[in-house]
Amino acid sequence: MKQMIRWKGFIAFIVVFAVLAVFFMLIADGFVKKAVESTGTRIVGARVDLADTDLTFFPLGLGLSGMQITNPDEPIKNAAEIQQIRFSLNPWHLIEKKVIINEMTITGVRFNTDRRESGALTKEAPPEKSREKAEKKSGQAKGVSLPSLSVPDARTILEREELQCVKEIERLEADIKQKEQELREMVRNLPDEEKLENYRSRLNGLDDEKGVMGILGGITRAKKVKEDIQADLDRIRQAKQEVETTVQTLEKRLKEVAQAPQQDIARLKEKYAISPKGLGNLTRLVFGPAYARWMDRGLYWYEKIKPLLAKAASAKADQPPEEVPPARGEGVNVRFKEHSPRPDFFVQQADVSVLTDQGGITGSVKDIASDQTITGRPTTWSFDATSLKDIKMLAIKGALDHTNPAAAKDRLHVDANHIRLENVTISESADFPLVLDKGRLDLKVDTTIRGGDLRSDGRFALTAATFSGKPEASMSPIQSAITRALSDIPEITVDTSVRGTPENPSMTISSNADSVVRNAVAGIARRETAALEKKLRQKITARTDGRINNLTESINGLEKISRELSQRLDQGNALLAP
Amino acid sequence: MITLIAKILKMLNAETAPSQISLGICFAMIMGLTPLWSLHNLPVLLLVMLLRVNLSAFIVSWGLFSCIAYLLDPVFHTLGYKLLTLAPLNGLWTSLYNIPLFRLAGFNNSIRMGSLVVSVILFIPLFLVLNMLIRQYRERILAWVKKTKLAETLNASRLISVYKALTEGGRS
Repeated sequence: MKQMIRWKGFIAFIVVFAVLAVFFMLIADGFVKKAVESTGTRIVGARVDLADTDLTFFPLGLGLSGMQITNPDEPIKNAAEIQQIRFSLNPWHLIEKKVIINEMTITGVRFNTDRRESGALTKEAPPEKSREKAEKKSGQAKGVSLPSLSVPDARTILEREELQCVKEIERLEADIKQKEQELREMVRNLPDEEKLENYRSRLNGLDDEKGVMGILGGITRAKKVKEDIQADLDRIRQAKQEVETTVQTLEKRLKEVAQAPQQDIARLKEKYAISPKGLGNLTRLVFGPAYARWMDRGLYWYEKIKPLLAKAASAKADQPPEEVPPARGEGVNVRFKEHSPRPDFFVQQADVSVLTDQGGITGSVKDIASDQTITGRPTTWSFDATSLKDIKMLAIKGALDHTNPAAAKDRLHVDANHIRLENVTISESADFPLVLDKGRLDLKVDTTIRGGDLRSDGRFALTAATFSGKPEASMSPIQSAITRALSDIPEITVDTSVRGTPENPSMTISSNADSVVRNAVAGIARRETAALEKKLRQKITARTDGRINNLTESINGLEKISRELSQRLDQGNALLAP
Repeated sequence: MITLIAKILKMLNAETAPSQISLGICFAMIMGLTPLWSLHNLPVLLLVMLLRVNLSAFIVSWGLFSCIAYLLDPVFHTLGYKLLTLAPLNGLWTSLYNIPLFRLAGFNNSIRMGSLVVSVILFIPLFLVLNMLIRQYRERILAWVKKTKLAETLNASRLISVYKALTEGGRS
């Protein structure tokens, strides 16, 4: 027995493993840091960085500090930055490869902070383009452009615009000129008065024939002359017909050309006149892009989180995994029913403190689980703030309920009261800058996603609002009317409604401000439009009337050709008369 | 290569007990065929160090079995998966799955299960066969080889000089 045991080997084994254990404890922080960074990066799709980790073994716990989560759409910014995350772990659950955390503390969360370097995973686009793209997507633009609220004068419009009626006139002028040349050329080749008179001389000469032979010869020649006259008359008749057809066509086109100025006036009026209907969508123009941006951002992160819940739910115990060929050397992990089932990842409660420019927001997230079908409880969160600088009360509540994956129901409720707004740029259009000088906003938004159907209803109420724009003297009547109308509304309410799916939402926005603005500007818009139409008519007719008259005269000139041909026909017919 | 052959020859020709060599090869089979980072390899390694097992046989065989394991991975996966999803064994696996130590051992991995079962089944037969083969080698082949003219010729060759050098080095 003594020969079988090698005590030196046993001691060497113990020493080697003790050294390895100490070495592991020393470098464990680095491993954890790397693991957190790579897992986070994989989930977010952009770099997740950690400044430091603090792994303690007795008791087992972990602290993560300086976490930066890159915004994948704008890699030069962090979607969130977290000062400190701390939690303790149950080692027995870790042996089962499950991360079970009873209490987690997350402090110093900030959103949309700057990064020192880009957190993009792939090669970044040039900074300018990247910024433009990001601004476009995240909508960092400071305001929106409203439709034009002043009417340019008629001269400016006509300098800028090409008139279709003038082009039509020019085309008709050219066509008449060409037709006139063609017809005159044709008439020139027809038998004229002289030729017809010549026929008369020939016919008169036949009377001088004497004797039987002379008379018989005269009859034959007379027949020949009449045939010649008839042939010429046919040519003249045909030419006359052509002239008349041409005149009729040109007269028809002249009528169309005479209508063209009216069409131009209508087109320019439509383009440049102020539409009260367009201004009726003022709130959608102002509010729509910003609201769509918030929804877009929220749904983006929702889509990032959702697969984490769905993935776990799909990998259920008691169900053998699908027999797909595993990667070489990896095999398949078969799951069995657990006596005390626990999800792979579970946080019973996370206390979170968020830092904003307005102050601190505190709250908690409960029951964060990788598989809610095991815990049977949805992930819920609740945040409150009552001491923010410009917001009297803010409450954000919600839940991700995937306890029954077939009927998943996720909801978010945001309620804020007395948000003080000052100097908010509504429109930065040079034509009509609009600034909300001050106002108080209350908002309530309820969003649910049930079985893939998105339903979000919001109500925003702005009270005690005053607006300003350009100096009063330089404002157009309509601009003044809008500014006054908005300031006079005691409470501007905006109702939003989003329906559809998270991938394809459709939004409707309505507001009491729309009808107020529409009514305020309707009368002024009508008057300004009528004045514009009158000026346009004067200027356009001044340009076209003379030319249209000339065209009429030119066509009348063609009718003269027809009359001339009629005379020749009469002359020829007289020759043939018995 | 020559050194490796010399090591094997030295190991076989030395006065080491055949069971020590066989045991080394059998333990190497478990470590080589199953995934390296498995919990069960820890007691295997402890036994290799604690018992008077021939370490040269263990190390050389470990490398050899690791190469074989790569080729047999698909077979181990199929066998392991069949065993883990076999209805009559479901109760056993479920019980083991609920014991943290077994969960940590990762027995529910198809390749780990397949390769471990194969190596455990082959352990005793391989041990006995190897014991017999080493004895047979020493009694018959080695004795016969030593008497041949080729052996006498080779005695002066580089192979033998390396062998001798190693033997002497090992003794000193």
